[in-house]
Amino acid sequence: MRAEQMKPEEQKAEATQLDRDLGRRLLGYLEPYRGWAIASVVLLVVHSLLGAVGPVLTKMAVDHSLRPTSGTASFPESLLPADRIDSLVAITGVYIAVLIAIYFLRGWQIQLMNRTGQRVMHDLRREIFAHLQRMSVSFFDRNQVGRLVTRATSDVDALSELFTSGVVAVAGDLLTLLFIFAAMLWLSPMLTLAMAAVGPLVYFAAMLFRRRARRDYREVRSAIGRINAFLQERLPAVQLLQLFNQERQSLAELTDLNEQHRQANVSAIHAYAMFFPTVELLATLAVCLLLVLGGWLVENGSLTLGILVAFLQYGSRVFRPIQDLSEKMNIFQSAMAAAERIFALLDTPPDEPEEAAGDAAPVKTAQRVEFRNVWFAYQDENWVLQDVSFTVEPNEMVAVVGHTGAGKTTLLNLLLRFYEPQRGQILVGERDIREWPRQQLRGQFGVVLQDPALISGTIDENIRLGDESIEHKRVVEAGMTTKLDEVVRRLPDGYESKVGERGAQLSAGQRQLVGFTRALAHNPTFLLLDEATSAVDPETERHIRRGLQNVVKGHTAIVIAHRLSTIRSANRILVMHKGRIRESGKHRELLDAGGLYAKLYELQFEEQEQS
Amino acid sequence: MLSTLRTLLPYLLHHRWRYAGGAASLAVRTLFAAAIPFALKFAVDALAARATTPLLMRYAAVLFGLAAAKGVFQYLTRRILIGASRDIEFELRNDLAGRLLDMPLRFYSTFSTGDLMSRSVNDLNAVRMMLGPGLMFLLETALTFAAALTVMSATDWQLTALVFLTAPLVTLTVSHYGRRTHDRFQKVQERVAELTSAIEENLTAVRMVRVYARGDSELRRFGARNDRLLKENLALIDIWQRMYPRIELLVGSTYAVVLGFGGWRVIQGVMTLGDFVMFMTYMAMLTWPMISLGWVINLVERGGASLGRINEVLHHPVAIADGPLTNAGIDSLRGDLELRDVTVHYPSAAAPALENVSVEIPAGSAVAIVGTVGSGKSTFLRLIARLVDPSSGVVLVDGVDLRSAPLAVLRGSIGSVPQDSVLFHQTVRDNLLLGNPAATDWEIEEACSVAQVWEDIQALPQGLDTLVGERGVTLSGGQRQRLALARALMRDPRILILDDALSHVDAATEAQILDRLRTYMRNRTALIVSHRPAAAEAADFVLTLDHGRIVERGAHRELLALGGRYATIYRRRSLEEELLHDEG
Repeated sequence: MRAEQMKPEEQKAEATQLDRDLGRRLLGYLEPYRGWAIASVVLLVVHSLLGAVGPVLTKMAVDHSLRPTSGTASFPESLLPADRIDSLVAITGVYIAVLIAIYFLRGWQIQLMNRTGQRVMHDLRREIFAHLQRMSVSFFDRNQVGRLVTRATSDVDALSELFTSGVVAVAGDLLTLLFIFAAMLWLSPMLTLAMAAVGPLVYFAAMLFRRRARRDYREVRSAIGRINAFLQERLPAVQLLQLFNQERQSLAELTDLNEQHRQANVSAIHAYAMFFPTVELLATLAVCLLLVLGGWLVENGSLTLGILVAFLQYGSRVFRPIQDLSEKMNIFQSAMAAAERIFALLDTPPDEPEEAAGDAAPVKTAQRVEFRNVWFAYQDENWVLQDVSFTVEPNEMVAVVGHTGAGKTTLLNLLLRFYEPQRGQILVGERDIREWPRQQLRGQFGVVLQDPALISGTIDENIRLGDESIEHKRVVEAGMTTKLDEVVRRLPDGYESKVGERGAQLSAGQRQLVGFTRALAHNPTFLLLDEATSAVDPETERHIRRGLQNVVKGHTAIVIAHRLSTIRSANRILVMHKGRIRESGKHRELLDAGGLYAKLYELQFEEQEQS
Repeated sequence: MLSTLRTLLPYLLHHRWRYAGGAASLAVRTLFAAAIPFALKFAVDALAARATTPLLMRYAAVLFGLAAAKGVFQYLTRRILIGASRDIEFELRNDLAGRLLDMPLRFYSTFSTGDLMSRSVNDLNAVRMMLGPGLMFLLETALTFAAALTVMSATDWQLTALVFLTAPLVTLTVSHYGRRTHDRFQKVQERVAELTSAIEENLTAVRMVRVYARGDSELRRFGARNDRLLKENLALIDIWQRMYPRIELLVGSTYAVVLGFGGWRVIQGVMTLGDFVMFMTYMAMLTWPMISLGWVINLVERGGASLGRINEVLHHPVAIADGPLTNAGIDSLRGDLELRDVTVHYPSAAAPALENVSVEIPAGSAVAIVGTVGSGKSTFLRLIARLVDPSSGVVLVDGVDLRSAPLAVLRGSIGSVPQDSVLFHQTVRDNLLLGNPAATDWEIEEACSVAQVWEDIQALPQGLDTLVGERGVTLSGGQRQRLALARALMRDPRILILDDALSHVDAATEAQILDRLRTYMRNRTALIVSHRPAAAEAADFVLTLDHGRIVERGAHRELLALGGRYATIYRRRSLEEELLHDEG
């Protein structure tokens, strides 16, 4: 059923049901910390109980010590010493004891509750991240990385606000309210009724305020959003605005948005400025009722002065939780919205399922790779590959060249089964790659991607990528082959040097060398190399050329080349153009034929001349 | 701190009467507030003396009246003081934005957009909190304490002295732990940033992670950072665990004093029961000011720090502006340009972007500027519009120093199409009117047809009134560039600057545009940077730049015949065109 077709009540009912389901699911995360959670609730209850004790003690002090009533003392005054001073000392002593007990209970309760909360958030982040690890490459092409990151960070933060900003603490306040109510009923049902009469008014005021404040708050947020969007658009374009003499005009536009922001805030000020005095006035109204009704009862002799004083003390505290609750409702709602988004992600089934281990054990001997009439489109009928067929024989090095957008990188995406072709088939070692479990298929390839995708950590960590079975010797050997070794030797910590966020401490060429070394160290059957497309400086170019030549020696290799200097030695060169293989042959032959390859080569040659 | 705060002085002075009014209202509010427990004392004493209901009703009426009066003035105080702080925020943000809009190119290479946004929104809000709630609660606390102390010590100064032993402790506790919470919270934020970048790294490197089946080790890496965040969060909890119980204990202890010592004074007959209740009520009234004072101290600290960051922008010199050299008499330009031995050296760069460049460009001529990435083409163009000033040498327009032309006149004479054709999230018409706010529909159509974009606009759902960008229509790169060109043409400029402005326009359309431009440019000066051979062919002469120097100059044919740098670049680009249009 679609939300907009439902009646408001149904929507509300459904929303409540949804909150309840979310709540139940969230509670499930408490399971591992059950003991802590229960202890925390128990502490909360005891703490709330003690919080309601103060006025009762005041009552006892007034009735027994300050203005003793004639006649025999009834419970709880009957527990006290007969002497006025002694009993006052006793009462004060009890009060101090209660304060100290609250001090410790409160500390433990904060610890237990928040620790539990933070651990649950910790687990939830972990679950989201682990879930994302099981998603396919195409999932990440469809979903913005930024948005997915938000799920594991900001949304989890919104949930943890439940603990940190005290929505849970409000539950404690409500409990206190309950105990206060119980104590009041016990002391005087009549006066309790008088106080309770004001309750609905406070609730009504709080609801009005909440609605108004929420509307204003939303307007303030959206005004701030507009100001942010404006700055984000205009600040990078300031030079353009200056060129067009438009500085004042832009300022006028910002002033407009700024004015909207101010208006929304003034409206919010009104709501806040009204609310607090209103609640205080209502509390005073309760005190007035107490005074008149209580005075009458005292005069009748059916009420002691102490009870009245105790009620006056309760009067200032009783409405506080109602006030708090309306303020913290927003936090609760945004936490629920965040939980909904998080669970929606967790409920998206992983589209790269772990397959049952097939019988196709990786073969470490040389194999051939074949593309048979492969057609592929990322979308609809926009063919990126059209009827592509070629073979790579064992120990052969095949280079794929072509202008930007020819479909070269797509070959690699298909071979690694990031995507499936619409028509045709791909064979590795005479077997259709769909018969290989993905992990085993990929495990046979040493892959160097355009972006070597370095992660923060050491060079060694980036080469081994957590594979502890790779010996250090092997890392060094691979480094020697790619000449990464020369770079590493100049670094203070050698292979243990940190590379920084996304490898920022290394140059582009050095990052590529790490990528080459990584591919070699994993001892692959095939090598797949996708050269970086972006323009690079001569030093990087030299690094890459040398690294690549050293790596492909003695491997079955497919090299996707954006720079032609590296592939003169290839056994075969495939020239792709607009999704088709247009030319194929050795460097010399293609050059002599004077076709596409010759043009590409001339272009490249001149580029290198220039640099 | 004080010199930092000086920035606020003019704003505060501007609103001095409102602040005075707000303070007066706050004082009245406080008087009424302090009178309530005092009235309650009489009511309780009357009760103790078995007062009759009508008398109690009168007391109740007084109490209610006092509370109502207090409420009215509290409302007024909030409206006036918080309202004033919102107005100062408004003014400060406008001034800040005005400053930002005048800043030169160099400023924006030092400060990132995100940083400047955070200064204009978050830091400004911290300053606002200091000037609004901060100032208000500071005043309220001071006045409330003064009033309550007066009444209380007049009743029983010994009890008062005892009760107020702990008050400063509450304030200090809140302020101390508040500051530690803030510091610790920033560490939590650092950990969150660290975790966020780990997730980002992982998700953007998804292909690599899949190829090397690194899911497990990535999970461990993430786990380590996740654990560190947890640890930091737990440390924050440790602070709260100390702060909240202590505050409760300190506040509670004041009640214990009233109960024990105050009770004893009542038994002694020094105080009445009414006094006892009054003390209790005052303590309830003072709890919040004690806590808020500690909070305000931190607000002021944070506000001061934020103001410092805002000052960095407000007091940053605007390097390029009209100055003593400006000759206000210049109100139009012809378009003769000359660079005399000009060098531009950006502060952070190792080598100069332009070095000893001298060239004369007569009004009405079209010049193509050619060169590889980083050869100084964009800097050359920036000099003309004074987005940068030369480090040495001089730029002349119509034979006088460029700096003598008022900026508004100079830029008003230039139509510029930058590399990235920035369009704003407005209607197509508004984007075009940026070029000339007074343009008629006919002028818009004229400029658009020269730029070959009029038909595209006609095809949009609402024509000229179609919204551009997110939630509006998305335009292709070529359409954006042609709109940017039309925007520049609408200025009817003496000097037209095209900085690789047609790179996304297909070659055929570019040829048509260049054809129309030829007529249009007949008596205008044009500076054209383009990667396409066609643009250079259309120019009167070509400048080839290399590493900030002019290495070749002359007509297209001459340079081609020369067989030097220009010839190489030209041939390469022709080849690229060929490849691009090879349909097999």
